[in-house]
Amino acid sequence: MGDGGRKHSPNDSYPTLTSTLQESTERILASHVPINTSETDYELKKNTHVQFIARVMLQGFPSKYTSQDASQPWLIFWILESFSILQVGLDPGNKQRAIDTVLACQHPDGGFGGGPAQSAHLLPTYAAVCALAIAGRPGPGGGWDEIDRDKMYKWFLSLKQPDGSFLVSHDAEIDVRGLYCLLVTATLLNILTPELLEGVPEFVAACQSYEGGFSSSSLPYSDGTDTPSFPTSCLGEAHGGYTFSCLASWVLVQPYLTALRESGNSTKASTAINLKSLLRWMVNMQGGELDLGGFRGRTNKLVDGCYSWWVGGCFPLLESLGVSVEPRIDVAQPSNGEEGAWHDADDSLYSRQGLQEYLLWAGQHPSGGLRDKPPKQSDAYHTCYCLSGLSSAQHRVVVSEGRRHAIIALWESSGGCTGPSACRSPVVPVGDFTDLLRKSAFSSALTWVEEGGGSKVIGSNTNRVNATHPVFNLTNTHLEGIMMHFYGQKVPPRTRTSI
Amino acid sequence: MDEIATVFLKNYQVWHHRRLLLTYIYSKDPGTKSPDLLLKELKFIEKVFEEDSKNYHTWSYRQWILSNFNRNSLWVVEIPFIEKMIGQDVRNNSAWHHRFFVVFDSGVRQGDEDREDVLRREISYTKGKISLAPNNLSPWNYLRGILDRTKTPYESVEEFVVPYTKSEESTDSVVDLDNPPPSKGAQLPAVPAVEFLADIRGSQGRIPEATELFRLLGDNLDTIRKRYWDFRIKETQGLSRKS
Repeated sequence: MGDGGRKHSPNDSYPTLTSTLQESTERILASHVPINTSETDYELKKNTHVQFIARVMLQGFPSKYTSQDASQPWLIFWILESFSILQVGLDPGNKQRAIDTVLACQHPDGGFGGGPAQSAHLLPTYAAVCALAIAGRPGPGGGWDEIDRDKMYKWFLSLKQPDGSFLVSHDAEIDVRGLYCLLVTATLLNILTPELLEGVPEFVAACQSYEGGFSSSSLPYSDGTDTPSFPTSCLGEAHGGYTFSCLASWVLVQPYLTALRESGNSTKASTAINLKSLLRWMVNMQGGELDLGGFRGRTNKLVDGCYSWWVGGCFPLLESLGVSVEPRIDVAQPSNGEEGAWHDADDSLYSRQGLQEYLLWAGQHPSGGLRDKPPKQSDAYHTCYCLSGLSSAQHRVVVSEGRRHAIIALWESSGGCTGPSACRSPVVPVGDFTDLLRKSAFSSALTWVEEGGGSKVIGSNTNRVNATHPVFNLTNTHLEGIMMHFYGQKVPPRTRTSI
Repeated sequence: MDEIATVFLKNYQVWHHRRLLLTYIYSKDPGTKSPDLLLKELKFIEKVFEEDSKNYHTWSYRQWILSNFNRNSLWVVEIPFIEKMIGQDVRNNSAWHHRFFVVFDSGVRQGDEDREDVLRREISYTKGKISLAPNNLSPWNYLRGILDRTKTPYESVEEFVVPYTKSEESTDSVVDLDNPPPSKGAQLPAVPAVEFLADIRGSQGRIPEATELFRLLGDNLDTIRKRYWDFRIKETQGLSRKS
């Protein structure tokens, strides 16, 4: 191993704590650059990772997780989604075990907690519903129909604040991760309403910091003198996790903004975020030569494998909002092999090669699982988000207007109330605007497709993992399954390899 | 409680708990004791930063105290505190964000009503910090942030930026106090400076010069972001679909 002649980050002969930490990290990462870069240096050790995840699953819940966001639904989601990305299906026994464990965390008054008898919280609620999207099924014991959507919806509304934000839990703080979790859950379960979304776009926009990335929260500001020029302040600096949460939330409220525009309410629909400064911040999170192309989560912090997803995964979201190198042609491109000369079909805005090298060289723990950075241990959280980031770097998943039209053409306006039993309960108010929103949310979620010629797999083709949905971080198969169920709708079959 | 907070720094529930406690105490006794209590809390946070000067939840908590109680006696300690933090580590981006929060993002402080004066003060402070370590992105982002917020054109600082985009040290012996030169040990040209100048050239309509600077970044100084710099070239030349 050597550093391949890579340059250290400049410290301008002015060392501080930040640059000293950066240098020592670069020295460690340098020792992970292969000397001859033979194919084995690029190997994704799928089997050892599958074994690692299986160990985590079978051992139950290692005690070290209890000090984090102690949460069974999260651990189960990380395990299930890691398996999905690695193309591993679960046997019926383990699936049922996952369903039962998650369901035991449902709170009697709606939502899910981190464990049985814990109070409901937006973060484990998201993890629980996504875990059920992967492992669950309709019918008794299948998990889907046991979710109490009526109570969940009421609980969501009880968390809502006047500025469009949500508490993550009763008596708890406001945090944009909670907002993302709520929007995903409401979209999946068909309980997205104008009432829930009122003020949300404005709140998200208020969380964008001067650097371009997003903060944990924003606070309505009042100095008593009525100067409305700066009505909100950002709490905390621009950060990868919060930026993903805000940007994905922004994508998830687009159906609402579209429905507002279509119903003639263009003033409300005019809230905007600064895509240009956001892109600049995102590309600046990719580390330099001796960061091996990994992503950091904040300016002047160290790279960490989990930001492969939280920041790397932002690029397709931004692209769906119109920021792209070239106007995209909405037809399936013929696949013409993979990586090649530098001038290939890859028109992404960051170095997909760099990110994959970081994950393959530094992200993999020799005894299985993926990690923040060497010499750290692997864990379920980093395994899930390193793999998700790798998937995002390998595949190009984009919005297809063609597919959107095909989905809308199949839409049945009576759907959602005549379908499977779970959809019958009139959980949310009925109305023209709500129907418009429902149709738009359903079609927007399911309109993402993998672009055939756009994949870029570093290393041998056996490194290829499953594609994952840029907004939900579920495979399209799992997403379609649960959404068709809760919306009582059908979607056209996928012509290309489904994701 | 203080002990628990320093041991479990990353656990934001600890900070939220302190938040609830402060809110409760303050609601019981909004009188004279409260400012002391809040100042004491700011002091405690400062001590916690000795362990981890970039802890996200600790910084957010400090910002919440300032905004929520909005006392002049609290705001006045912030600028000296920030200067201490940035003095300890000029690359501490959390401290730079906090400066933006205090000066530009939470209303107008007493004594700061002359916004042009505040802008001049901030630009001057930032230039001084850039000159210490020109490749440090934090003050460059701060500079962009305050110019954007006040709708001030980037070209207003062109004279300062240019020497940071050259590889050789300036032989100019005249000391310009408004525009401190790069420090002796600086590694030039500095990427954030070249980007800044490219943006200035783009805004001036000097497209070939902007293009050349972006190309220098993509081909030479900052190759990991080559795709982005190529994108900026297309955008500047008006070929890109999206602005």
